Amino acid sequence: MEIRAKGYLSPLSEKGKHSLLTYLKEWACTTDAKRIGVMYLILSLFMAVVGGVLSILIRLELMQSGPSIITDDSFYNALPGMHATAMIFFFIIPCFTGVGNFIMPIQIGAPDMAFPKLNLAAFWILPPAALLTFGGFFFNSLPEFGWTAYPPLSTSVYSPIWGADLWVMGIILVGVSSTMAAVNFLATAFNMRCKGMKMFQVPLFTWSIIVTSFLILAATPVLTSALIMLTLERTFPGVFSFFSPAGGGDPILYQHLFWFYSHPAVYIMILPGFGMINEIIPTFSRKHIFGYALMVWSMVAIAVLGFVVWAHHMFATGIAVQIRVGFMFLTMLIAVPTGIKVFSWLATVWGGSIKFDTPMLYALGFLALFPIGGLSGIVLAAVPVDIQLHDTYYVVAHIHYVLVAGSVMTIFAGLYYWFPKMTGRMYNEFWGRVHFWITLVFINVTFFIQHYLGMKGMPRRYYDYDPQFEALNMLSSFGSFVLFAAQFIFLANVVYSSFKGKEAKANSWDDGLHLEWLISSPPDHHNFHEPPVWEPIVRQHVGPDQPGGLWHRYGE
Amino acid sequence: MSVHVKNSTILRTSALLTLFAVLLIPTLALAVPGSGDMVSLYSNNGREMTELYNVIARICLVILVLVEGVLIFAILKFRRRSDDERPRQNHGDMRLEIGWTLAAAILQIYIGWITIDVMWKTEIIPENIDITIEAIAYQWDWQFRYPEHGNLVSDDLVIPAHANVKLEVTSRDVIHAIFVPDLGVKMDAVPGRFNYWWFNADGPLNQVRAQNYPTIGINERLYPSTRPDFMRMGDDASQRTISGLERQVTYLGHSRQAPELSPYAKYNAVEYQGVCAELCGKGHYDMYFRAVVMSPASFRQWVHDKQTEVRDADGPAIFAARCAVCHGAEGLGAGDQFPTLVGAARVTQDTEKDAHIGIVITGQGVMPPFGGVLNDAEVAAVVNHERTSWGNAGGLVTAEDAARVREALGQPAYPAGGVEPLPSAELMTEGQRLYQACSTCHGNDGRGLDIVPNIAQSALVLGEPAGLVSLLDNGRNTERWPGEKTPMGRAMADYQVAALLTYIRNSFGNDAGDVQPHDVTRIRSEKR
Repeated sequence: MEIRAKGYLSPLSEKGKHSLLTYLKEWACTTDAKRIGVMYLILSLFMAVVGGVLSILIRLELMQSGPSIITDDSFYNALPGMHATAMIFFFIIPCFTGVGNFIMPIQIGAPDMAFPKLNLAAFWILPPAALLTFGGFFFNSLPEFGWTAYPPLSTSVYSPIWGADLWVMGIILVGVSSTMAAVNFLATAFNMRCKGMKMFQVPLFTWSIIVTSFLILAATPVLTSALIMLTLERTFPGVFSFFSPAGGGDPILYQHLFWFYSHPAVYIMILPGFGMINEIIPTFSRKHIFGYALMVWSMVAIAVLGFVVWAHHMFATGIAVQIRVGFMFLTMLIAVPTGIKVFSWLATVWGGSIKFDTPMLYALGFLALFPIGGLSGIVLAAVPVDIQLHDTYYVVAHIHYVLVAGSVMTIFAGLYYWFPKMTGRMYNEFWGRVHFWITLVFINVTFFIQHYLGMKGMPRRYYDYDPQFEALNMLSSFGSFVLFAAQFIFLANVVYSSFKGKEAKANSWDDGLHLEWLISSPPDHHNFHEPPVWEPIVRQHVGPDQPGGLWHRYGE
Repeated sequence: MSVHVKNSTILRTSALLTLFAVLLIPTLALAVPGSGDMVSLYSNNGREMTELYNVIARICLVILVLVEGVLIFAILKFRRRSDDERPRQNHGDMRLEIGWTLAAAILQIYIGWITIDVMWKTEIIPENIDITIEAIAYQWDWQFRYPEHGNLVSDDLVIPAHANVKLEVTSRDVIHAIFVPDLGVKMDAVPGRFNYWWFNADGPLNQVRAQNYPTIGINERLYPSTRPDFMRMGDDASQRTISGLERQVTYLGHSRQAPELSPYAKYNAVEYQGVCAELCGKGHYDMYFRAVVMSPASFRQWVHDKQTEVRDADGPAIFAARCAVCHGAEGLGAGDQFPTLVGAARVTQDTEKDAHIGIVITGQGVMPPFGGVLNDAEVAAVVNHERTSWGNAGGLVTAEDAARVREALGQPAYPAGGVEPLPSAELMTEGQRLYQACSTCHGNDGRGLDIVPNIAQSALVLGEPAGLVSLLDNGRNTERWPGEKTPMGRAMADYQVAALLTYIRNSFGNDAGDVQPHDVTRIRSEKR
């Protein structure tokens, strides 16, 4: 068998051309950021399917009141936590890291990442981490304390199972991996930009990776330290009691440490998505991004504010009312930079020339649905309302509007957008659109109803519930089944088109602006044949009533 | 070519219509804040929060409609019409950008401002707290302790209406959260610390209307009336009993069945569902309790009933309700954490009897203490059930054993009920207070005005209590003036009737002995 791939996909050695095994070995040991990026993507999409299956199990159980397909409540209790772990730590974050690995060095005109071997190491930590994290599945000892792992429930007294220790270890490893990736991204972005690529010329996707990397670098050590404290307490009960009140510890301390990471983690999971939308909307509107500088600063503002709002996850834990007021105001302030971004995207679309290919459909779908998640965030920021809705399905709806209608929609947008660049082939546009419309409709069917469930008082992480909630749960479950099934359209499209798709042009969308669209699809091993030079974009502001302004359209 | 263009136009139009429909659903759904979606409506604090939610949701709805409107308009207007179309570039507009940044910031500050107002109203615990209750969570149930009522322990949160209730929430093991959606009560129960929450619940509406809340449409004429027929404006409300449960919880999870007839059916009360909101392990979904808001009189009656309660010591039933969730219905336990009871030394050997009783009373490790909720007879019954079921053959224990172990462990005594008579002084004090309502007609000295009968030295008052109870409950209807004697007793709990009777039988020169609440209960139930 002969491997006839082009660009960076082509075998590196003569032997690799004829032996699939050698070819795969070349992949496994590669230091090429593009290949590592693709491996990240494959791993994360696989974990997305795993997480999806877990969510389907949850929805199957919740379809009707009373125990149905899952007879063991302990197993059910493990599912939401495992679903969240799979989706957050092994799907969304690595997926963005993957796209970042592929696109970011090219966008700044670099041949590769700054530390290629570190890059490879960061990736290869993930599969064993996944095995550890989900190891509980193999010997029936799943951690039942959710992805938040609040002690004392997660201490060895109340969760005396091996699976929990493995889970904690796995998450620590994920943290190590993403820290390594973040260091690498920062070193690359600050040192390897090509000629003419000043910081305020850097494409916004790269900016989003930079900001995200700072977030990871500053937040992850806190999570790691909290988890190490938890491990010590689990392994040596009675010796360490950081969190057990019996030994003088405080369970709330863990929540502070955990949310000091996990709130920024929400932005780690959405900022690269914002970056992708910043690439896609200009390309398909044939317009430069509106308000570039404010876009950058609003991202920085989101990142900075993201560090000082963690206690809004803990409004019901009994922290003092004055402190809650402060956190509430800071939380609400995050809506300001987020609002700036949404308005700027609308202003970019305004007056453009919009082409509705699948990436753009996803970007617009994101733009339509993400505000629902953002606005329910404002509702949740108001302390008394938050306390009532805390730990109900309203919060489930909110987080899924942010992560599914937000992060996942942007991931699809980005993957469709860069698919021609990554594989050198076009995906099937028809099936891409089918995938989009089903996804758009059924995200709402699945998650919107959950707002009502929450307001009516249905708590989350319930194995069984009051029959009065049955009809809405049934509808939500039905929506989730269709939503899940529709994702196989995407997977089939990706697999089929990678091999049989139409060949893609270098500038696959004709209007691609940044450096990745100037090189061949797929790019060659070191991206550029000669060091590129970036022709700086002069960004001139125009008043709304001037030609080219917001109220004007060219040619009318 | 033209056919092709037509097809794509149809496709595009249908796609846009779908998008519109998809966006319309959430928009319409959000368009009805205030339609009862937030259910915390039955306490002062709950209504403040719901009102706040409604305001913020409306603001958000306006923003959402604006964003979606601009987006849909832009999609329709600025779609690409020809391939060589090149729009004029526009890199930004400082005035616009500063404008929407400021607008967003001001809006957020406004929302924060109105929120702080509600926070201060609902979260600062007021000075005048009427009753303090400890809510203690454990895996996987609740206990409510009433320090002001002799450390009474209840499985349900029972509170008087229109009283400022302060909850002191804590946990014995992991973090739980108390959550009563209808009352707007939610607070984490964190081991090692007390969290506080206060509220003021409306209670049963058939007696008292919610203050300043117009949406609750109880018709005023349904209130009991003693007007003569020709003056009545509506239904025969005087025949309607106003005692009784207004609303009953129908679902209490797996371990607690909600019976057809609630144990609170005899009180003037309303029930709400309470749950645990913070993931706390295996039985997290099964921590339901009732939050019962009673009229003040019913609450006093309930406290009295609770203190003098005689319960069936039904071992299997107690085991099913309190032990089976961890130890399994067949006593086999679960995992390392919950040991099996089948054949265990403590359950089968005679020498371990006291240790067995002791662990039930004080708990151990993750097992909560049951000494406060099970009296001696019940402890003995459940211990005996464990010692004789599933093939176990341990020796039996008695209630006396339980009392002895309790004493040895330094636990407060909890004998198996038997009705303790209430002290006369307590009944007299309450009776005197209640008599103030009667004194207008019957006089401060028990001598009535004109045609109103005397209480002093009245044969009816000095005779069997049954006659007086009947008069108070039914009134006296004469042809001359229907409803001459108002059925005052109908609104009174047994405890209050007993107190009033005791007072009038022992005042104004009368001397006829106490009437105990359980006597009234018996008389009333015999008549029914």
